[in-house]
Amino acid sequence: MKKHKMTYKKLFWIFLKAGLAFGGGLAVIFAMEEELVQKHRLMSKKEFMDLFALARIVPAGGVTAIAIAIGYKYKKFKGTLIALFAVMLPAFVLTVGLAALYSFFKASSLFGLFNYSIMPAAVGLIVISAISMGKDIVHSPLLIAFAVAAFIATFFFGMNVAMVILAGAILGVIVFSNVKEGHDLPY
Amino acid sequence: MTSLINFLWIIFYTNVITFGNGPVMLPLFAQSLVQNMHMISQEQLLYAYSIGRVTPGQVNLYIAAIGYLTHGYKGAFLSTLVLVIPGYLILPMVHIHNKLKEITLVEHLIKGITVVSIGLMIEATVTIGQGVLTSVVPWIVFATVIILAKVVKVNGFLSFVLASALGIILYYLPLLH
Repeated sequence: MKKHKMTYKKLFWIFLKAGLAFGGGLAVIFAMEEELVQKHRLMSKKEFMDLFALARIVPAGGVTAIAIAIGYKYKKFKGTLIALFAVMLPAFVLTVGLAALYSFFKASSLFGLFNYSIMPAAVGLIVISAISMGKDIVHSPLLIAFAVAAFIATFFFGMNVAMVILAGAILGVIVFSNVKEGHDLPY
Repeated sequence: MTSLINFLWIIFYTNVITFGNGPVMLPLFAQSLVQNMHMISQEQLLYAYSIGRVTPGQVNLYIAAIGYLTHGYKGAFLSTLVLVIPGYLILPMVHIHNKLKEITLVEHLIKGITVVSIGLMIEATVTIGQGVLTSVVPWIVFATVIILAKVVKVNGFLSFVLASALGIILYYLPLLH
């Protein structure tokens, strides 16, 4: 399969298009895959999936990390700037634009409407994220204990959330490195 | 000025310890920016997250909205910069990819973070929910999102939009007022 050539213009358009995908980070990443792998044949599916796996452990979110990696692959540092700019442009403009309208909404009768629509829906989404992240752990009493302890520590004792996360990271390394696969844990 | 630097530092470490996961950052912001520093209100935080969710693109750019609410356009721009800069770590990682044996260690670390994050997100839901779920319609909207996503298996974004639309319809139904 012949691989096509990358230009600055193409890089910009591919990432702008991905950045216009609705549905959050995963939707953007699917759109990138569709453009880069299926449509333009700039990289293989395996290459993209490897990058996706690595991007999960980069502290900035998968979209950002993949945009940087692909921008760099084709056009070095300048490519990273173009890819990042393009992929974030739609979300940045719209989010900041709506943030700028906050005081306007707050003063108008529209805000009452928000309290009956997007605000409670957003609270629901937080629960969904928690459930999705939790679906792998429900079979392990040990992991449920972790989650419950984190809840109690912050809700009842007001502990620092960052400290709880760091404790989780350290305990994660200790526990998961010492528990055999398929023993207590589903991983 | 110190307030801006403080703010950017919070964005930086919150992003780094949660690996840039939008919803996981919420409990941290609820504690640092809302409770401890009073930079934004609970309502503003939820508003920022909601608009991050309805607009196209990655959700964690709701940080730009928080930046705008605390420090104007400068805050929006600088917080986004602070958010993306750690992303450049992907470049050395791609480079040493094949030698990266410690990757299982990082995987374990992320699993540990994920597990406690579930507890933290439930905690944030309870805390934030107390301010939002104050009457019947918000409760219906809240429950609808979860039912659509988890029982009917509609994707998260669509559940959000449909439940919000239901809330707007119910809002205009006079019998509920």
